[in-house]
Amino acid sequence: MDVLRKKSSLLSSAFFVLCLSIFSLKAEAKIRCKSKDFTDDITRSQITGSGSSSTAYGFNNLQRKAISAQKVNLNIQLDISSLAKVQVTAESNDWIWELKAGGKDGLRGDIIAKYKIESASGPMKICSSSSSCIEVVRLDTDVTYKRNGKGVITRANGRIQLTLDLSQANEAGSYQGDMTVTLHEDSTTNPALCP
Amino acid sequence: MNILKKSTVVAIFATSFIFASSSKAASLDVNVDVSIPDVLILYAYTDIDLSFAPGEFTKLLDSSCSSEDCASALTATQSGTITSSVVDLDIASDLSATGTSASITLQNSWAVRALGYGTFNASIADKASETAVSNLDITPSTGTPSMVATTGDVSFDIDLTSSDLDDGTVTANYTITVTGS
Repeated sequence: MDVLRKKSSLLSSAFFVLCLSIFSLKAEAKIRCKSKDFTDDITRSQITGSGSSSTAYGFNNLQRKAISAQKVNLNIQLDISSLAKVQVTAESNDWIWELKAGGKDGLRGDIIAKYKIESASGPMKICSSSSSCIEVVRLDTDVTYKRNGKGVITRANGRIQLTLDLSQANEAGSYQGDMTVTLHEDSTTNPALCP
Repeated sequence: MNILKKSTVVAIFATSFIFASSSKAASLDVNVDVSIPDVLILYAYTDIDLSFAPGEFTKLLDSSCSSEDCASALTATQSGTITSSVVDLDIASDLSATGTSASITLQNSWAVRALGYGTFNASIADKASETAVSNLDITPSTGTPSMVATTGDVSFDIDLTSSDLDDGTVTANYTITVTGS
């Protein structure tokens, strides 16, 4: 009977320790992160300056040149380069990542997000096919914080804006890529949050 | 025994919880999807004022000339019979071999950029040019467009014998149309 009581007491202690372990695990693992897909529609006016699918742009600055050997080179490429929009921006309407933390996590600094974009055609590209890709030439991010009275982060989320170079694109439609985001406190050399 | 069973269940649950926690990736996955519309943009100069380079115009009339004031010697031996102290060498028949028209090419005078079209087709139509102007043509008339500009030429002939040139100018007007398919 004593043995049974001791065994029962031992088992109860084990149960308590396990419960405590779970409780402490839950208490430490307050940081929660989630992500959303990034979608945006580039408009025609962003590319052509007009809403129409086809646009005619007349350079009405006088071209005064001399004919030589019955030819004159007007070199329209120079004017197009100064005018044509090869780069456009795409931005998320909402946050694409969100981090929630508790007071015990003690996140008092800034959340630094490290972004990596991959496609079948290589890094920092999004593609509609193997022959039509858009290069992501710049990624800007905007992080919004919510902190408690002690300045500890309880919530942070990030939006991004991509600057896209369309010069290698020749297809209309959906361009896709995979982005991975790692979140760090203050520096990307610090351990990733959201373990 | 019941307690043992409960503890075992809790232990399994705890173990799976620990495993679940440690197996989470340290990064977030985001699918990036950007939609691009089909667009086609035609660029062209709408006001072009051309002049002939020095010597160019006379060269069109006579290839041996290189300046506006040109003396062109016809060196072929002329033979004839003097009749009543006069001989007709009929120089006009030799001049007929010289140029009467010029074919002018406006290189890189238009361009097209497009997305979402496999082919573009370009055409040109006369729009009340002077009669000295003929044979308007555009090249390339077809191609594969991209966001990098494809540039093209416009060419036309000028009848150098036309009275349109009497005022020293000749005017060509045209409309370029580019369609994508």
